[in-house]
This record gives sequence, C-alpha cells and structure tokens, in this order.
Amino acid sequence: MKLYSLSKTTSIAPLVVFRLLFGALVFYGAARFLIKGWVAELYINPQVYFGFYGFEWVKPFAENWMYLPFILMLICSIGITLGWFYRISTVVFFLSFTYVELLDKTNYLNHYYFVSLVAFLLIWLPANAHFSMDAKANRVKIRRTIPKFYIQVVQFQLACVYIFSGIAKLNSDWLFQAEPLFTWLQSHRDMPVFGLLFSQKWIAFAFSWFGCFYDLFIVFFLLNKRTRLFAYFFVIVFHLMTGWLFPIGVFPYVMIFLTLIFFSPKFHSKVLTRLKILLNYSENKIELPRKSRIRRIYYASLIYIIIQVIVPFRYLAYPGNLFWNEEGFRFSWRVMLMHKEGLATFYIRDPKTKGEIEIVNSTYLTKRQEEQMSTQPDMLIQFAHFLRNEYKDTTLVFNKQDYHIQGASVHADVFVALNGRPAQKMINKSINLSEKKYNLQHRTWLEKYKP
Amino acid sequence: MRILSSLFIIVFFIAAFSCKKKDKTNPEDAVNFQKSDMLTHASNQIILPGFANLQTAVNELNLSWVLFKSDNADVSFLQLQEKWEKAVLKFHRVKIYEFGPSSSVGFRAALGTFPTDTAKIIANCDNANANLALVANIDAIGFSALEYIFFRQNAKSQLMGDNELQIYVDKLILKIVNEVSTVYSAWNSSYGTTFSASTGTESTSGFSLLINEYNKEYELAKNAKLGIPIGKQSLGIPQIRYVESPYAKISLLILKENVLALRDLFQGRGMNGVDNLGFDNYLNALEKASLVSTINTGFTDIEDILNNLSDDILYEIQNNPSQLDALYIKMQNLVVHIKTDMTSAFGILITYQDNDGD
Repeated sequence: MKLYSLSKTTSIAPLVVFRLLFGALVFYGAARFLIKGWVAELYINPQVYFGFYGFEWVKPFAENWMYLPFILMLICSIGITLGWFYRISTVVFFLSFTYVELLDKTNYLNHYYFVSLVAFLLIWLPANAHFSMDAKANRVKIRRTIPKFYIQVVQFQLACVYIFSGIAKLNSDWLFQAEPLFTWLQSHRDMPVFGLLFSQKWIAFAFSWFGCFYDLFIVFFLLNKRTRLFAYFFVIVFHLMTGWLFPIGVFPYVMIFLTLIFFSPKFHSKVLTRLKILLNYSENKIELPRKSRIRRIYYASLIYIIIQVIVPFRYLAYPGNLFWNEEGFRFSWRVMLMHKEGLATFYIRDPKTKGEIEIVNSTYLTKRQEEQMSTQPDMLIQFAHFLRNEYKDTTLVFNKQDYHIQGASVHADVFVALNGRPAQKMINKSINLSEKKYNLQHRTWLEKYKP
Repeated sequence: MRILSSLFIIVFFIAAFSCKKKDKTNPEDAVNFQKSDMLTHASNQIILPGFANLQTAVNELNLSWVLFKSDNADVSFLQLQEKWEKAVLKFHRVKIYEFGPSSSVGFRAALGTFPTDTAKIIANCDNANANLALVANIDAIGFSALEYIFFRQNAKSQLMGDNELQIYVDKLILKIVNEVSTVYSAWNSSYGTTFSASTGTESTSGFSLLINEYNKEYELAKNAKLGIPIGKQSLGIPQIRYVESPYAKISLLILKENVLALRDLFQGRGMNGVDNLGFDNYLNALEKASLVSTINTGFTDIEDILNNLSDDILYEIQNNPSQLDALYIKMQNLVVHIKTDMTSAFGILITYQDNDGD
C-alpha cells in the first residue's frame, strides 16, 4: 500500500515566493537588531552567558567581532531573496543565526527558533531553481515543478507553530482565569477608546478563547480553498493586533507573510509573473531532478517531522507543573503563555566562618538576564554554578582583614509569581546549589508548585 | 464561507459573554481606575511639592552658610547644621524619581553618594581648578561631603580658619542649589505633564520608569543604608566604613525618611498628608486587596523597628545588632511583595527587547 506518492508534483512558485519573503523578513530582522544596538547590549556587554544544555561551548566572539555574524546574516538574507549563491547563503545564514541564538538562553524567543528551523529547511529545498540569480546564471538546474512534499514540509512547519501554541493554551490559567492576558491587557487601560475595554475581565476571556480557537484551527481554514481568504483576513487582523498590543517584534510580520505558503500555486504563479514582467526576467531550459535525491530528502523530511511532533510533548516525561518547573518548556511553541516575575537572592556561605555574602545580581548580570534568570530553574542553577566558580578559592578583604574563602556553598532564596498569583517559594535557602547538577533530569530540589 | 464566518463570530461572542460581569462593589476602583489619574496625583501632590520643599531647604542651607561665614557665631553654626539635616531629609523624599530631568543631571549620585572620600575633599580644596562635575569627584561632593565638613570634630574652628575650605563649601552648595533648581523647574514646566500622560507598558513610559526606580530605590535603601553596613555582603562582618552619615550620626533617621517616602508614594499620600490615588488603589482595582494590606503591614513593621532604634546605625551595630538584623529581614521580606507581586500585577516591561512571554 502506498500512502504517499513521491511523484506528485506541483508548481515551484509557492516555494520561490516563500524564499523571497523569508529573505526580506530576516534582512529586516537583522537590520533592526543592529540599529537598535542590541548586538552590544545582548552579546558584547554581558559578563555571563547562559548557554543551552549541551551547547555551553558556544561562546561569543571577542568585542566587535560579534557584529560579524549579523553582517553575514544581512549579506546572506540578500542572497536568499535574490537566489544568489543560494545554497551557501542559506547555510551561512542558518549557522550565523543559530550561533547567535545558542549564545544566551536569556534571549530565547520561539520565533527565533522558528527562523532557525525554516533556514535549515531552506538549505535542502531548491527554492532558487526558478526566478533567481542562480537560475539566470545557470548555476542551478532550473525547475518549474517540484515534488509536492517540498511545499508541505514548509506548511507543516508553520502548522506546528499555530497548532502547538493552540494546544499549549488548553490549560486552566488561560481558559478559566484569562491569565496572563488579563494582566497584559489591563495594563493598556489608559489607551484612548479601547482602554476601557481592556480593563474588563470579559475582554481578556474573549481574547483568550478566541486566541486558542484561532491557533488550533487557523491552519485548517487556510488549507481549505473555500475558507482561505477569510482565514487570511483573520491572520492579518490577529497578528497586527498582537503586534500592536505586545512587544513581540518582527513575529507578526513573519507570520502574516509566511502563511501565504498556504495559498494556491496559481496565486504564487501570478505573483511571480507580475514580478517577472516588472523585472524583465527570463530564464532558459527545464531539467528534471534525480529521483534518488528526492527520495533521500523525503525520508529526511519524515524524520524531521517526527522529531518536530515529539519535541513539544517531551514535557510529559517530567512530573510536576510545566509552567513552574519549565522542564521541556522551550522549543515547543509556548507563546505568550505565562507571566512570571521573580526575586532570586543568592548567598555564598563560607564553610570556615559560617558567614554569608549576599550577592547583588546586577554585579554580574544585565537587567534582562536577571529578570529571566529569577524565574527559570535551569538559569538559576547555571548562575549558582557561576557563583560557585567565582568564589571557589578567593581572598576578600573586610575591615583590612583577609578572609580566604575556599569551597563555599551557594544558596538561594527564590520567590516567583506565576500568572498573577502571589509569589511563592521556588528554592529553599537551605539547599546547597553548588552540589546540584545542571542536567536534563527532573529537578527535585525545586519547591513544589501550589496552585 | 458564510457558515465559517458565522462560526468565527459565534465563538468570539460566546467567549465574550461566557463570563458574567461582576457587580462592582467599588466603582472608584475596578474598571474605572486610570493610571494617568494616579500619575497626575503623584506628580502634583508628591513629586512637585517634594522638589519644592527640597529647593526651599537648600536655599535655606545656602543662606545659613552665608550667615555663618559673615558672623562665625556658634548659633549660626548650629543653625547651619540643622539646615543641612533638613535638606538631607528633604532630598530623601525625592531621591526615588531618578528619571526624566533627574537622570539627565545624575541627581541621585551627585547629591547622595556616600561614603565620602575625605582625602579627596582635602585635595580638592588645595586645587582651585578641581572639576566637581567629574565622575571621579562623585564621592567628594553632595550632602555627604558637606556633612564631613560641618560635623567632624572641631568642624567649626577648622572651617573658620580655612579660606580654601570655605570656597569649596561655596562650590558644593552652589552645585546642589543649581541641580535642585534645574530638576525642579523641568518637572514644573513640562516634564510633569509628559510624565502623567505616559501610561504605556513600554519600558520608557513614565509609569514603567516610576515602578522601576521605585524598586531600585527600595533595594538601595535596603542594601546601601542597611545591608552593607551590618555585614550582609561581607560574611556578617560589619562594614563601618560604608555607614551613611558617620559624622552627623543620623543614618537611621535618613533610612526612615527614605522608607516613609516609598510608603507614601505607594499609598498615594501627598505632601499635605492626604491619602489619594496610589499604587495601592491600582492594586485594589486589580482585586489584590490582600497584597495591599501585606505591603502596608510590611511598611508598618519596618517603621516600628526604626522607631525603637536611635538615629545612629553605628551605635546600634555595637549595641543592638539583633534589632538591625530583624529590620533587615523585614525589609528583605517586603522586596518580594513590591518587586515580584506588585510589579507583576501591573504588567509593565523592564527591558525593551522583544518578548514572547516565556
């Protein structure tokens, strides 16, 4: 029995338009990052970086060399859009972008992860095989059709973002407390005209339920030819509204433009025809790709899809509350899902004098790092280990007297408020964090969450 | 298509009305509460009068300095010391507002840096060209420098015989008078209105700045005025060197004024003593009345301990360390409620980077 025919082909147009838009969007994203001065703020100025588990060896370049990956991103994004040395552009873009994202989990955003994944997919997809400078210069085999699953893989990636974030919203805080939306919306209470609505609970409930419904089903409405235009109207309204209310940067535009991949090949062909006339573009012959390569990409895609479906559910392997423990939280399309505020006070305890040193976090961390670290258990333990190393073997002078500190233990008093609830204790001060391991196992030393 | 559009709309409205509106027991609070009203009140009744009072106080300080220079009388010197004390306390009423005009002057640091570097002060006296605006001189200027000159042993006789020192005091007072006047007039002329209307959630809005500086000021009070001197960052070994006001010996009086300023802003208590819109009313509007009472109790507890202590932390470090420890614990406990519970309820942003709420 054959479930899926690899010989099913479709126009390459949707993939080409996707390439044009993706390149332009990531160009805008990188330029915006540079113009706002975030390179220095996030990747040059900090003294400490919170690496991802298994990737702590990824370190920032020295000083202004950190601008290099961003400049590469700019160049490569132009390369992607123009289809100019497309393969190398996608590879270098993917590496530079992912390198930067791996440096510090403080700056983790789901849509950055999304950009990394899409860039990775584009490496393998022949999006430059038509309407590109590579095609024009005969650097690539020109194609008008491609296997249908090439488009479907990209559609799958977008569907992941929506559907998983919809599933993630099926929790009691979101549905029955309208949190965190109520907290966020009410903060706009002084806005002219709409302000009065935003301070009302029922509006937060309406937004929560509608948002959940939208995320769960929008993909299906986009896939269906009859509902597509109508659904796309909602895509635009939904993302513009969230972009207007919340500081989510380029994400709304990324989604508004990239969901066009759900539109018909005819639509995309029309777009390309217009562009070709506008740019007076023409290209040569058509060649068919080798079958074996398609088969390989097909099986690789299947593995990719399986991984993408499993990863967001890895949290099921951990006991306890997901929002509190954040074990298996990232890389799962949990967007705008919780509002956490924390206070983490660290102490160095000298085994000799039994005296304590209270740490002022801002001595080591940026404001944003401190804010993120105070609520995320894996960052708390990473910071504790950083402090352990700082005080491993050091001599301090107090009142002109030397104090040699060796093998100090690290303790922390941590309180976290989740989704508007009163703050509760996350880490008990009696626990010696310098002995606790940083790994992917369940963290038993965290206080249990009390709803 | 039509079926689906109606489906979308139906879902939207079911969602919209699935929760019944509650009876508003307190119409002043719940839905009608406006941040702009609260900010206007803070600006007009707390911040502006605070700066006006400080301006009066530093002008009086200047006058009594001029008087003392001319008559060198004991009574004038006593009055000078009193005026210094009054000005310092008024300063601690407005030190919170380190944004807008204050932050461009570097107000908090210029007037309030301690401990003062006495050797630097003496060196600066000998150097007529010393630039007091330099960051390097931040610990040789402001109220702490004046305190050293006015309150050290034999302060009066040392001042009378030292022309260079008198010129240095002239410069210090003039700098303070100018800075206070700059900040006050900026608040009075346009910044006050800008501030009151700036109610957004972005990290640069007036409301976000106010909350962020509020948190910072509270932690400064807790750490710099109490924690560090009693040894919280030094293995429990008191750091006498970092005590505020070692000459006038009013460190705990200053701390108390600092805490009261923070409490009054929270409660929306104007300089005239009338309790109006404050953070507490906003929290009530968000149905967080229990947090309000927790924070109020926290402030009362801190005040109670401070009332039972003398004005001088040096004395208490020697004689009453356990009470200082108790005070520190009370202050530490309150941080959680202010920085975590209150700030999270307001839903403001601390930084201006992109965020997707995780």
